[in-house]
Amino acid sequence: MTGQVHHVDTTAKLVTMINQIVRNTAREKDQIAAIADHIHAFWTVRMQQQLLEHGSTGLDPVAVAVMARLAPGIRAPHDA
Amino acid sequence: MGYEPQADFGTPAVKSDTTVTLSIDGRAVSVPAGTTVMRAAALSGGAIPKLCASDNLKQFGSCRLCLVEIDGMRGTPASCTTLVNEGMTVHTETARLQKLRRGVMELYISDHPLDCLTCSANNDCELQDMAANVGLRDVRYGYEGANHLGEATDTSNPYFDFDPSKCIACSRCVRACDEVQGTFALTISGRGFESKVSAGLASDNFFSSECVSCGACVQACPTATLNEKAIKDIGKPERSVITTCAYCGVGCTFRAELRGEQVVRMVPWKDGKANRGHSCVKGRFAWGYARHQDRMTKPMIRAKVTDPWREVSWEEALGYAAGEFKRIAAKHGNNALGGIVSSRCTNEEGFLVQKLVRAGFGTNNVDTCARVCHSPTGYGLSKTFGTSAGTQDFDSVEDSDVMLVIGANPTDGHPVFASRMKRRLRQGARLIVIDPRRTDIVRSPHIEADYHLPLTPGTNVAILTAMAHVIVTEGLVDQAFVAERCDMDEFRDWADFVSDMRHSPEFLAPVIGVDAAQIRGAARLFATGGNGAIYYGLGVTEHSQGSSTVMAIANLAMATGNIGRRGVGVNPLRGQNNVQGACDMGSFPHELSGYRHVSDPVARAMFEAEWGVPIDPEPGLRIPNMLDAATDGLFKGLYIQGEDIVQSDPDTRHVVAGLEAMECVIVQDIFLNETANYAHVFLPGSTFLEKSGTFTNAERRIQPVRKVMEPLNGYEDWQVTQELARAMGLDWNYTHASEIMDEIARLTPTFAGVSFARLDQEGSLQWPVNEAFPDGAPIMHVDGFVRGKGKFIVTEYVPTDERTGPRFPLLLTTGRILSQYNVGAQTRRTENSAWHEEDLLEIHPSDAENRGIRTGDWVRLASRAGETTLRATVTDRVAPGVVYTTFHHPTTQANVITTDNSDWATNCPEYKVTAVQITPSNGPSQWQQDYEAQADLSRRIAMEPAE
Repeated sequence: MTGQVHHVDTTAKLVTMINQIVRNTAREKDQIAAIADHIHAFWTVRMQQQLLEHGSTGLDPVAVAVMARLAPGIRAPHDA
Repeated sequence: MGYEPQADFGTPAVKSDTTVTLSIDGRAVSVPAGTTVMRAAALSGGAIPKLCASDNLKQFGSCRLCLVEIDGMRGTPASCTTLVNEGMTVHTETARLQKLRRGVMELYISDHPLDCLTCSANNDCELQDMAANVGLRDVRYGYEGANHLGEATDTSNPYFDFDPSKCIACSRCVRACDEVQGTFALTISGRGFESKVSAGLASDNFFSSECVSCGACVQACPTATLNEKAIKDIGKPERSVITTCAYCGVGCTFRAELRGEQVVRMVPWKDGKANRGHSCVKGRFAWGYARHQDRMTKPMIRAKVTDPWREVSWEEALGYAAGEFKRIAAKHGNNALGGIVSSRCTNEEGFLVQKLVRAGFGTNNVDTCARVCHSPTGYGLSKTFGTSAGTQDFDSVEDSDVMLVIGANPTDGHPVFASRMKRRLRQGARLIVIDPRRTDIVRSPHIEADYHLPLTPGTNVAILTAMAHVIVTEGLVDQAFVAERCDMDEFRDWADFVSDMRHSPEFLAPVIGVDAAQIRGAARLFATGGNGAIYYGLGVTEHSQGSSTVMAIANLAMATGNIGRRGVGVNPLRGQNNVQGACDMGSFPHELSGYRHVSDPVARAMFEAEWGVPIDPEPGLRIPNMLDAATDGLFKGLYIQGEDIVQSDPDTRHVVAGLEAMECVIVQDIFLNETANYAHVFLPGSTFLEKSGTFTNAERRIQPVRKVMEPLNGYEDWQVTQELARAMGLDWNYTHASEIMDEIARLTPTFAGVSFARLDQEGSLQWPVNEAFPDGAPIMHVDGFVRGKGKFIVTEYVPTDERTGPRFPLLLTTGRILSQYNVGAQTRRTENSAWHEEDLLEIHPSDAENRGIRTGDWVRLASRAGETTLRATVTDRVAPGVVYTTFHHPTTQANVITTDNSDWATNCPEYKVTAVQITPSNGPSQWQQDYEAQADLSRRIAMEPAE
């Protein structure tokens, strides 16, 4: 298997992950806060920064709102 | 400990609030009412001769050796079937009894080979002991009459022989198979003189019969009729050590019985609180891998994974590894490093690996293979109950009236506990099984599930919500429990949600693939059938909605009041021996030991004070995120202890790509596993027989692992981690694993009262063990939930992204088989492969016919992630549209097929749902052949030049 090229779009995976979280927390009373707490608890700073840099393309609108809420607290990866 | 047979009191213990006092041979004896005279005598130190009795079997009364005389009672009753009475006077050794017993023994011995001196059971034979006990000196009948001495020995089982010439037809083996194991594979065929033990049909031998090789019959046999081959080969054991099995999450306790340094056999320990003296084919027999020729015992390094390995000293290997990690940290930062610890490792090893990562590497990038099995359990139960663990002990099943088994295959995955479940089911408990496959527990001798709901893979949340709909709308909620124990606002929200007609069984039946009436019936039974216990496995967690399903299970338990007492509860059946412990020990990247988040300043301060270094307050990378970061060029160095992510983790191509992108991969294992093909440093590990520590099983039971023999590599695994830490500049000086546990206890509130000394004293402890629960807690949430009020959480069914379609019209689900374990690294290196030498694809007859596939044919199994080939077995055990395979063999590489879909909350992989297509094939694919060639190339070890 060595030498085979296997391309992985890790940013696309983060988009999938956050959209999946949105779909599974739709009944939360304050969904944006709940998802923000979840991401803060389980995602590394670098993952959060990577998604922030990606922008809103492909993101569920709720996910966009979550990232907007998280943005001020996300440090750049080199600060992590 | 020297070698002594385990005590046997003849008949089972009974529970009674009434005590009866009697006289036995002049001794006053007090025992619970209902106790037999035989047991009372044994408890008072005066064992009565016996052959057909054993205290793990019901009274049988056939051997006529245990006769006694009782004042005021006529004749000589059998003590094994006579119950004690207040004031009873019993005589166990009178001239009349001695004469009778000698007569009985004469008959036995007249048809038994007199080869004691050369018999494998010499000096470890109850028949021999009893002959001596009754003073048998002669057999008046001679040995020339009709006998069974010419019967041929059945050697078909890989681990034990059946020599019918030595059988006394006591039926202990048959009864052990029935009562203890619950397989009913053995019987006494024929009548009178022709009576003999028979496995299966007349045409069967032990191997071809339905015998599951649990060893209960061998353990029960009072002669050498059923005897381990190892006893014949090695001889009688001379000493024994009590330790804990390293296979599944049941955590059976065994007596490792040794002769010198050589293990002769592993015998289930009767005082083991998880297994109560029972075992399965893996723990009982499949330990030979510990001395397999593939064991690696010398450290090795190489600059590139395409180079051959070079054997080096420990100093050079550790120095090279530490140097590489320090270089990577200096160049790429601390977060370019990480560690993975297997749930097969001890608590102490897991704790040290996460300590090395946090205190040595300076990052929280540590994860455990619990990530890929039970991480949703931790998440879901923590949210709903407040504790990331199951609520019951195994004994609790004895009080269950209804068992709901969902996504678990206990007879294969957790066989010793399955036997206890089956025993309770034979006593009348009811059974609901939710599983796409017709697992063995659905229908087996004397057991038939009231409901088997073969749902479409991926619809767990839908079916649990439909059951909740029935319970709420039909007024079956335990209102008093909910009002007292749960948050009512959250309950009302949840009740409103599940009551919606779109969650009715009738509405959801087409999605679930199960008849609505069946779902309604199962829900009613669970809610009204008495004590309801839910048992679940990876068929719940390894889904995109794994965490939601765990929460839905918790909702169901709370709504029906099935929490906080014996017989009920939420019971995750953990896949590996120390999944619970790995999670407890802070092996996840977001939390420290005891499930305290790294952002918690109070918890962090404890560790910082103990370790003298700052702890990063931000969570680290999970395994899949480590691999992603590696392919992005950000993650460069990984220390893997005891885990084979290339074989066990999903989407193999991605795992390999991640490893190939790293600059230094350290693998510590007992074998050159598949992951080692991509490693730069190999540190040989030690087996569970070669080290000290503790495992924590599925019931939160912390149990000692004791060193049985010296490690082949020279070091216990915790010592290797310590040496790596020291090479990186950390001043670690543990001299024994017990000192690591002492540190765990200092830093982990739920382990505050745990120590090796306490475990030696108690045998085992179920956490929490602290000021509030000084002796542990067999059952949790008794007076209230750990989080305060139980939290109902609305779990909306969200279909997985993995959909069938024209290209991939079938759903693949994966699992394990009784004889093999996980990636097979251990069991494939034992005789267990006789039962399962390759992974097979189960396919329904209609799907097979459509494709022209017959049992034994090679088929191509393809998904969006990849393809492989294996052979098919056609069976209606799986529903149409569903196929199934195991992942025990690296050449199959079932995880080439699985995708990188995962649980929304924990990233636990969605192993259980993959859209696939099956087509006929000519044999192993080019990919498989290439893989084997590459693996062979990667495992080359450079030869030292001749002097």
